Amino acid sequence: MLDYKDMGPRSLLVDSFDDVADHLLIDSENLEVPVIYDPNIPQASSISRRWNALFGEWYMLLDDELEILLFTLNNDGYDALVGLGPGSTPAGDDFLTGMHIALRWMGHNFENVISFRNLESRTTWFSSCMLRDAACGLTWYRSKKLLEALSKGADGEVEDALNEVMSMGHTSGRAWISGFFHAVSVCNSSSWEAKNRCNGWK
Amino acid sequence: MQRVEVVRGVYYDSVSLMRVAQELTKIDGVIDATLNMATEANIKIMSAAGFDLSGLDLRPSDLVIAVKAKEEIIDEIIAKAKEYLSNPPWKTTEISQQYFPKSLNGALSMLPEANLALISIAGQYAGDEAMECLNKGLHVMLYSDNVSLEKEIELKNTAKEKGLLVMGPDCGTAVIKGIGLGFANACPVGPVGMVAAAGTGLQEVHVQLAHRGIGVLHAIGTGGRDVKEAVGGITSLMGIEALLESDDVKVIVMVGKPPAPEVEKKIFQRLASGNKPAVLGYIGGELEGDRPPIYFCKELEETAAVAAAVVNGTDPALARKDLSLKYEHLKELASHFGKRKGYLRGLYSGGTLCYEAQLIASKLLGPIYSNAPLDGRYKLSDSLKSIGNCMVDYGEDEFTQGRLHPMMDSTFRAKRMIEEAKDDEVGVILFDCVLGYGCHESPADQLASAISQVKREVGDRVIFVGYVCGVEADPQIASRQRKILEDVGVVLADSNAQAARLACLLLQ
Repeated sequence: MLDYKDMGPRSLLVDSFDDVADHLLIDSENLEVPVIYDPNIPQASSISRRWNALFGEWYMLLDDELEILLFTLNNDGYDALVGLGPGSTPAGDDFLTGMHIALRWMGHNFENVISFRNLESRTTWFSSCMLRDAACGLTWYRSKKLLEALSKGADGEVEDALNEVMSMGHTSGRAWISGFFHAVSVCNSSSWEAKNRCNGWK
Repeated sequence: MQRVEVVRGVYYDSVSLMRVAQELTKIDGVIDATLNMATEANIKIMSAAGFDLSGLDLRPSDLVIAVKAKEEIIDEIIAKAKEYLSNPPWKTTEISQQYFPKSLNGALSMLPEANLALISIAGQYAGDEAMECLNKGLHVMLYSDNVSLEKEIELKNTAKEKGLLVMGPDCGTAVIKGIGLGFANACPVGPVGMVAAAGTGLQEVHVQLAHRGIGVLHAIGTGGRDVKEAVGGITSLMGIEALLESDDVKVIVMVGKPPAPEVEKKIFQRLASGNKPAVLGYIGGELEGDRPPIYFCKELEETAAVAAAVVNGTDPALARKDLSLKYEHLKELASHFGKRKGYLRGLYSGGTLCYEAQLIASKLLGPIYSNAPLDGRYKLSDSLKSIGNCMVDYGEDEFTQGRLHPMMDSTFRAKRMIEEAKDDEVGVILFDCVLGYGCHESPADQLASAISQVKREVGDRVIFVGYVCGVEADPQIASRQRKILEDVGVVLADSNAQAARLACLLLQ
């Protein structure tokens, strides 16, 4: 973790103190920690068609060391991405997190995208928290900024926000953006295959 | 011993291959290492470097890893090359933290106000991409070379209909609103507008103007073929039109090799009917006799000197006289350093600089052999083997397919410098060292290392004459580059024209 922008909404506070959590009640309201941002994922009011070309680039982001994600996705589906890749947040989880946040943002449900059963045994503790946070409708600072920028559609803001997300980890940011773009792209698409995918999410 | 290994059907960009080769040559026990895609030109170059590629069935999509090293480490070095290719050691520090759109549409969604696209991809695809950009209403700077003449004409006609510019193909340098594109120098912004073929000719005039305190607002690149009869000067004429319309441009400067007569006539007529002074710097052109406010020059430094005089409102004839005096002084300088026996060998990274040097040298020494000669009769049958007085342009396609342009990597030219200096028949070696954005971070270091190495063997029998084309504000810092070369005994001149003259004067 680099700074507050990288902290998930609850992961550090709860899970990093795992050993003491049974005996310790953390009263976050009285910690006097300043509120940095609201982690709740907002509902997209409207998404400008201007960004469609950008969303369509999702698979092009999965090159070099992330090629395995595209291969796995095409052959084995979303569930096989859980825990795929090295690091504390495997790139597959970053992709799925970005995807879940996009679906939440666009008002879709996502119960059929991956199975959350035994998630903790299938990936790292941090990653599983990240995915569950997204499923709960919570996100971290950098992605929240991106959602806001995309909703506003102001010149330069989307670029700045994307750069901030890209700066997450070695490949985390790129995988996250790819998953996010993928979900928006599929939801926006009118193709038969995309509709089928999309129907599974509703 | 040497080992050559072929990896079938892969593609790596030339920067990666250069970096891997550089990393390998740093290892103790490695004599030489090179990695190239197996194009015909690269095979020839590797063979000339002493690698035995005979009997190998090579295709352009194959990667050739060739290493000369001590026997006991050669397997390890080949393995290292593959490891570096799949997992470059420098990559971790170079990971971009920026989001770069992957498609033209993606880029336009992020930059909807953009009106210029710079295209730098393999030539066979560049034309179609350029057409797509034109159809989206974008001006195009086509940095790529190897675009067919037919495609160039099609692109330029389409652009003309749409009122857009196609700068290129093979447009290495341009300046728009004072912002340099491609291999541009960090020169001041000012009242000059240029239209140039867009290689080192543009850079040299840009730099020489800067040395005279004059800035450039726009320098529109056209690509070398624009002024040929087949293309008809479409971009040159559109560029002139744009500069005539710009209130901020006070003087127009044209730079390049001489146009086809019909095109030259059109250019002259348009400038003559315009309302601004113009300097036509067509290198070795036949037009002469100024018709103020139109001035005709035959060399790059002269073009800059005359243009500076026009901007300053001083007499261009005096500027020319000052230059002549400088050129006279070179004779004294040559006597000071002592004349050498043998041939002149020029090793250039800049095509127009090489062309200008040949023009100057041919007047003083007679015919000059080259891979890009002034006269087809003096074309080298093998660009890797010099004949008589000879100048080689390392920026020609034969040297740049699948490898870096010599302005980005002088390694190959530096090796040739060593070979030439060891030749008993060679007395003077002339070269350029071009600076600016996009160029090697310190080209002088690459060249100086070869020069100091060979000087230990041949002493002062051979004299090295160089020219650093750049300014203080360039990323490489001109004074620093000059010092590196001076420290190994290179005689430096203040312009390409002066370097070529001095090199000739140093021969007996």
